[in-house]
Amino acid sequence: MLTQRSMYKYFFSLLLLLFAGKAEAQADSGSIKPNLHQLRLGVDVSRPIMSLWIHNRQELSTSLDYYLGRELYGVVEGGFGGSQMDYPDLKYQSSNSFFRLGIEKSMLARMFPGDWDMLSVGVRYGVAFIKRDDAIYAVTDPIWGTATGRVQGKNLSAHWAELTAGLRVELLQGLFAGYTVRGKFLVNQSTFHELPPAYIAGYGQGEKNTVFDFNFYVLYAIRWK
Amino acid sequence: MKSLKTLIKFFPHCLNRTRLFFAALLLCVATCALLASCESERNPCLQPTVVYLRAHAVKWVDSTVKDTLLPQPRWFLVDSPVVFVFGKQTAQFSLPLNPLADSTRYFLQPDSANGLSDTVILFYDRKLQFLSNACGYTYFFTLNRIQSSRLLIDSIRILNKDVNSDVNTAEHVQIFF
Repeated sequence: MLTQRSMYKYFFSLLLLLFAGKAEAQADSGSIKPNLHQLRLGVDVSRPIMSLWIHNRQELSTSLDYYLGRELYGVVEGGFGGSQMDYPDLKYQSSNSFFRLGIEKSMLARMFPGDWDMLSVGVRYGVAFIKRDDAIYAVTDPIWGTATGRVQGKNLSAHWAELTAGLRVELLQGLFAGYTVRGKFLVNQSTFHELPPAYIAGYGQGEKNTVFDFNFYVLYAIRWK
Repeated sequence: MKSLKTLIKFFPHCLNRTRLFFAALLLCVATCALLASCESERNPCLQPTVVYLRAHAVKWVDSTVKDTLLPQPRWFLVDSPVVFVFGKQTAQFSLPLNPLADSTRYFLQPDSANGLSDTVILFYDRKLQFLSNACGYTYFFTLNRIQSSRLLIDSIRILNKDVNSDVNTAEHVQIFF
């Protein structure tokens, strides 16, 4: 488990990397600059595939990024999903929507002005609004038997920070594919001591303070002068 | 150092990006398969779900508390046919509490050879405790008081009233003989 101190250390290291990359990119962008604006919309196709293995979790996730200049991209991501726990000792379901806001820095030097491929690092702030329904529990004691009860449902919110690294390659005119790997660090850990959702769409397992994850995107870019 | 920087700077230009993509795709599918095989719908429960009261048989020797090794101790549950048989010359016991009631009654036989026993009744509050999604819920207990007969037992002292899954705390009860 990562401590807050080590989280800050990673963020600081990444910021240094971003600034170092920025200086490098300024040198590069001096020679090759994009000649168009670009807005790119993507869908994460990895989650429906994962659902084939793990049936009690669902997630739909989309991504929108815009080129800000100097090889920086503003990124907004969002989606929704949920999970079900259906076992003799614990039964409940939860659903949530989520948003992530952040910035991405391309570390790949442009080969020509219309070259939009990217190998990037970035940071995100994520928030999820969660509805956890009533939970039914059963405590089974080997001597005295079973006690059952109900825990009232709750509305929760999760806040987390992310470090990302990713790849985008333009396969056809405007059509991209690529992935993002993420390290996620839950900020409001204390909210999730009492029956955290088994899965929070956009974040991962609600019980974990640190989550490593990936998304595989198919994206389409709109460009204009 | 300069040559390393040059290599890093121009490394991306050396690659065919479509090839890079397919290499990355392969890596991604492998990662996906690995993650999917590691993840499961529910993680296994790797912690105890029943908590135990830790009792210690002691006696006063020259104003200090010393162990009393009981010859052949047995703890009988009054409200259940279960008997806890401990090894010879034992002074420490782990005992379950009833999560369906606010008290648990035991007969304590320090030496099963002579059959003499005392009744011990433990009174407590129960607290529902979430462990994890893998293990579900259990009950923790807060000891309020203990009653006992005085055939062999002299007195009982509560040292630690919180009976929970933390085994690194002080023992809960001292039984003086």
